[in-house]
Amino acid sequence: MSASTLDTLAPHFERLRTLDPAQRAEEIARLSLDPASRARLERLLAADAADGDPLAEAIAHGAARLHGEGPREFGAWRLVRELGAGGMGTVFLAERADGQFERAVAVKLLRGFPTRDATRRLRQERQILAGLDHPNIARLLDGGETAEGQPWLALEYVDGVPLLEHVATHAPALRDRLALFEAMLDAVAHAHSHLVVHRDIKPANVMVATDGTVKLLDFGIARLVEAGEESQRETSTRVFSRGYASPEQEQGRAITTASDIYSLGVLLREMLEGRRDATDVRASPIAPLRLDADLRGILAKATEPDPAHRYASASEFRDDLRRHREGRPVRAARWTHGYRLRKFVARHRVGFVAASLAVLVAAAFVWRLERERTRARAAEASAQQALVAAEREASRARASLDFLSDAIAAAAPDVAMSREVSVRDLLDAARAKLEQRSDPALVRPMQRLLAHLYGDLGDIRTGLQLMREGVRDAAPADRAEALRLAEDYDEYASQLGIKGDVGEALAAAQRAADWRAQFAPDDRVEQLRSRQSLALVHHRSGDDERAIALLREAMAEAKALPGMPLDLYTNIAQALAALLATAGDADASLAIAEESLARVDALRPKESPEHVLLLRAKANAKSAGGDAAESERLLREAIALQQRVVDPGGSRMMELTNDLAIAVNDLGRYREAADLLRESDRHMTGAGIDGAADRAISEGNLAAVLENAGDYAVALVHYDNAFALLDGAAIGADHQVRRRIEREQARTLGLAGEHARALERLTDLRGRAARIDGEDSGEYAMLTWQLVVLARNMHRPDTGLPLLDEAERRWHGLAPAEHPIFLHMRRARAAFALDRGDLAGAERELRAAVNGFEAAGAQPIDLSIARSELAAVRLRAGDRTEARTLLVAALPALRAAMLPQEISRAAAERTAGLLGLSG
Amino acid sequence: MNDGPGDHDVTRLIAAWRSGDEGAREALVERVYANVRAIAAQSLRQMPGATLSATDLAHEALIRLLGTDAAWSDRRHFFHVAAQATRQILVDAARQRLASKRGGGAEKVELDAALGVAANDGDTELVRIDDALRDLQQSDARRAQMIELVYFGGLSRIEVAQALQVSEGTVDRDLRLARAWLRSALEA
Repeated sequence: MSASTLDTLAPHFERLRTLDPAQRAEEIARLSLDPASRARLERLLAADAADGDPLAEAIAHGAARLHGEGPREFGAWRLVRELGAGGMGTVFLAERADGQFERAVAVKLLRGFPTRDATRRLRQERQILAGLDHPNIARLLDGGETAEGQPWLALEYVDGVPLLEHVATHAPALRDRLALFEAMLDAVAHAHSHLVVHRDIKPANVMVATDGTVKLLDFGIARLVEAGEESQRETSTRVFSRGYASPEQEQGRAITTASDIYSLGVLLREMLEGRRDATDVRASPIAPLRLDADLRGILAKATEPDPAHRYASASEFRDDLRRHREGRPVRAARWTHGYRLRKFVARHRVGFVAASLAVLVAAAFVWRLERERTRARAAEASAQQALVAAEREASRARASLDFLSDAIAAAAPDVAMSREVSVRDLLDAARAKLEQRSDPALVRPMQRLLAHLYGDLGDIRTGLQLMREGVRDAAPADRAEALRLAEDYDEYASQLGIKGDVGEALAAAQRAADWRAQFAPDDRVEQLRSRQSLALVHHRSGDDERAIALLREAMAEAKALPGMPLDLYTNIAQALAALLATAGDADASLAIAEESLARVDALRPKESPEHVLLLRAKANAKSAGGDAAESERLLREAIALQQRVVDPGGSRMMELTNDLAIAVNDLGRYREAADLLRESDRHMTGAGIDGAADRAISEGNLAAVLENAGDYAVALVHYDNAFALLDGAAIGADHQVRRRIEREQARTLGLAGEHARALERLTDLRGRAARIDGEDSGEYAMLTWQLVVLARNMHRPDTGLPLLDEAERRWHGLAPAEHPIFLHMRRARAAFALDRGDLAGAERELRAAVNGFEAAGAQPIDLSIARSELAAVRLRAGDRTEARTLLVAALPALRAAMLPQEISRAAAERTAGLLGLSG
Repeated sequence: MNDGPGDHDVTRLIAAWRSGDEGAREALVERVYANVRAIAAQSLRQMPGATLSATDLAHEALIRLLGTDAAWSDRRHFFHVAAQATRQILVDAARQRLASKRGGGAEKVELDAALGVAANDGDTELVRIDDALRDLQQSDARRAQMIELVYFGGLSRIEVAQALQVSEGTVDRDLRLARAWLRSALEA
C-alpha cells in the first residue's frame, strides 16, 4: 500500500468510519475506486472498528520486560533465569536460595502492581490455591510480594512434555488418550469441589511428566491475576486463550465451572482428532483417530455454546467417558436426539440450578434482604400512626433495599449460573458502590448494614471500620429507629469484643440495652436481644458465670416466646452450649445443641449459617464429653458447608479450624493438629482479629499440641509468647484465659522435668480455682488431676494417691463413667503401684485400662501407651512373650505421632530395647 | 549525565541537529539511548511501586537531559529523539530476547510451553510493529512519525500538534488512519 493510496483513501475513510455498516457498504459500492483500493479501504475501516490497541499493549509489554532484568530473589527462591513472558507476567526458573533442595520451581512474577486491597484479595486467593492437593495438579508452593509490592508465585515445576506433544510423539491408542484425559477430569473435579475454576485450560497448561503422569498447570492463576487487577477493572483484560475459551468467557459474561468443561471438551477433541473444531485448519502433528457416534456426542455435549447444556460437572463428563470405555450407553449420545434433548435440558437445567452453589450463596443474602423488606413493611405500617417520621424511615429502608439489590445485581449479572460469585464479591461491590454516595441519611444505615454482613463473614476489620462510620452521631428519634440502632450497637459490641476492646464493647452493649428499655419497654424479644448481647460481652471479659446465667434466662424465655426470631434463638443457643461445654458441663451443652439443631433444621436448609453454627456447638459438646471422633466428623461437615457456602476464610473459619485442631489433637494426630492450628492462625490474621486474648489462646493451643508431640522446649516458648500477649493487654491473674494457659504450661513443665516450677504453678492455680470457681468446678477437678500426673512423674505415690482419690471423686461428679479420663486414672494408679513395688496391682490396673480403651474404640495413641506400659510390667514379671506382643502392637502408633523424647514413647523405647525390638 | 557538562553538550547537539547536522542527531540518539537504558535498569530499585511505561521513560529522559525549564523548541526536538530512542531500545531488547529464545535449544522451548508462555508473545508483536512502521515511514513519513511520537514518545495529541506544527484535528485524523493501517498490516 503506497502513500498516495493512503492519502487518496483518507477522506473516504474519515467519512465512512462513522456510518453504520449497512450505510457504509452502500457508500463504498458507490465510490469510483479500483477493486484493490476498495478492498484496502474496507480493511482499514474494519481495523478501525476493532477493539483494543495492540500497539500500546506490545509496547507496554516491552517496557515492562526491560525491568525484569538482573538476578533477584523471591522469598526462599533464587531466580536462575528468565524463561519467557506470557499474558500474566514473566516466568523464571528458580531454585531454593539456601540450596537446601535440588528441586527447581517456576516462579511467576505477575504483571502490574495491585492496590493494597487487591493484594489482600490476592493473598486470600493464594491460600485457596495452595489448598489444592491433587496428583494431577501442579501445586502452588509459595507466593508473596516483592519489596516493591509486585506479586509472585512459586509453582511446582513439571519435568515433561506438553500434552499435545506427548500425544503427537507417542500416538497413544484411543484408550490411553482417554485415560490421560480422565485423570485431567479428576484434577478439575477436585479443584471445582474447592470452588476453584481454572479459567484458562489450554494445551500449554497441561504437561505429561516423564513418569507419564498428566499435570494441570496454573490452576486458578487467571483468577488470581484478575484479583490483582480488581482496582483497574475497566483497563484490565480478562485472561483467557482464544480457541479454548468458552463463548461466555469471550463475551465477558460470568465464568463458571461450566467454562472449564468447555475448554476441556475442545482439548479432548484436539487430543483425539488433532483439531479444535471443524473450522480449525492448522496443520497438526497428531494423527486423527476415528471417533464413533457416542464419542462425538460426548464432545458435542462438552462444548455446547450454552453452559447450561454442557455436562454439569467434571465428574459427570468423566462418568460418561467411562461408560463409553466400558461399552455402556452414553448419556450424551442419547440426548442428541431432538425431543429427548429438549426434555433433558428442561429437566437438567432445573437440576443444575438447584445444585448450583450460587443459590446457596444467595440464600444468606436473601435472609438479609428479607429482613430489610420486613423493616420497610413495618415502617410503612407505622406510617399510619406517625406519618412524618415513619415515612422518612420507610423511604430510607426502601432505598437501602433497592441499593443492595442493585449492587448485587451489578456484581452478579448471572447469579443463577455463576458458582464463583461469593458473598464477599457481592459485599465488596456494594461497598464500592456506597463510596460513591454522599447522602448521610442513606450512607450511614447502609454502612451499618454492610458492617453486619462483613461481621457475618468474619471480616471484623472491615466490619468495625464501617460500623464506626455508620454509628457516628447516631441518636434515635422514635421506636423504630431506636430498635434498629440498638441492633447495630449489639453488632458493634460483638465485633469490638472479638477485637478485644472489652470496655468499649460493654459500653456499646449497654447503650443498646438502654435504648430498647427506653423506646420498647414492653417488647420481650428486644429485651432478649439486650441480654444476649450483654452475656457475650461478659464472656469476652472473662466472666463466664454471669454470661451463662444471662443466657440460661434468655434461652428459657426464648423457648416459650411465640414469634421468636430464629437467628436470635440460634445465637443464644449456640453461645449457651459453647459456654456450658467450656465450663465442663458436656451433657447440658449437648442437650442444648441438639434441641436447637432440631428446631433450626425443621425451618432452614442444611446450608444455612444457623445450621453451621449449631453444628459447631454440637461438636464442641461432643468434644467436651470425650467423643473426639464424632466431634471431628461434625466439624469437618461444618467446615465443608462454611467453605462452600460462605467464605473460605474469616473468623468463622478460624474458629472451626481451631476446634478441629483440638479434636484432632484429642485423637492423637498431633502433627496434623499443629498444622491445623497454624492454618487457623492464618485465618485469624486474615480476618483482622488481633485481640490479645484470641492470639494468646492460639499460642497456647499450639504449645499444647507441641507438648503432646513431645516437643517440650518449643512448647514452652509458645506459652511465654502467650503470657507476653496477655501482659501487654493487662489481662490479669484471675482471667480465665490466663488461668487456662497457665494450667497447660504447668503440665508441660512437669513433662519437661521442671517438677518444682510445675508444682508451684499448679498449687497456686488450684488455690485460685477454689476461690473463683469453687471446689466442685471442672477447673478444680482438672487441676487436681494434673497434680496427680505431676506426682506420678515425680514418683511420689504418697502425695499422688490421695490426690488421685480426690480427682476421681470430683471427676465422677462431672463426667460420664465412660469418659477416657477414668482409664487414664487407672494408668496413674498402676504407676504408683509400681513405685511401691506392687507389680500385681500395676498389672491389674493396666489390664483394666487396656481393655477399657479397646472396648471404647479409643484413639490408637491412648491404647498404645497403655499397652506399652503393660508390656513393661509384663517384662518385669518375666513374661517376655506377652511383653513383646503388646509392644509390637503399640510401637507404630507411638512412633508415628510422637517425637522420641515424649515420655511415654521414651519409656516404650526403653522397653523395646530390653526386648530387642529397637530400630 | 545530568550533572556535568553533559547538559550543554545536549543543547549544543540539538542546535547542531536543527541546523541539519545528521552526525549530531546520531550522537544525540546515542546519548538518549544510554540514558533511557540506565533509567530502565534502575527503575525497579529507584521507583518502588510503579512500572514505567515507554512514556515515563521518555519523559524522565527529557527531564534528566534538559531540566524542566528547557525551551519548547528544544523539547520538541528532544521528543523526536527520545521517541526514536525508546523505540530502538524496546525493539532491540525484544529482538534479543527472541534470538536467545530461538538459540536456547529445545529444553528452553519445552519449558516455555510448560509454563504457559505463548510462543507468539509481545516480543514478536513489537518486532512486527517496528517493521510495519518502517514501511509506513517509506511511504508516509508524517503519519509514521505521529505514531512514533504518540506510542513511543508518550506525547499527547496537543503536543504532537505543536511538535509537527499541524492542527489537532489533523493529528486526530492522521492518527486514526495510521493506526488502522498498522493494524491491518499486522493482521495480514
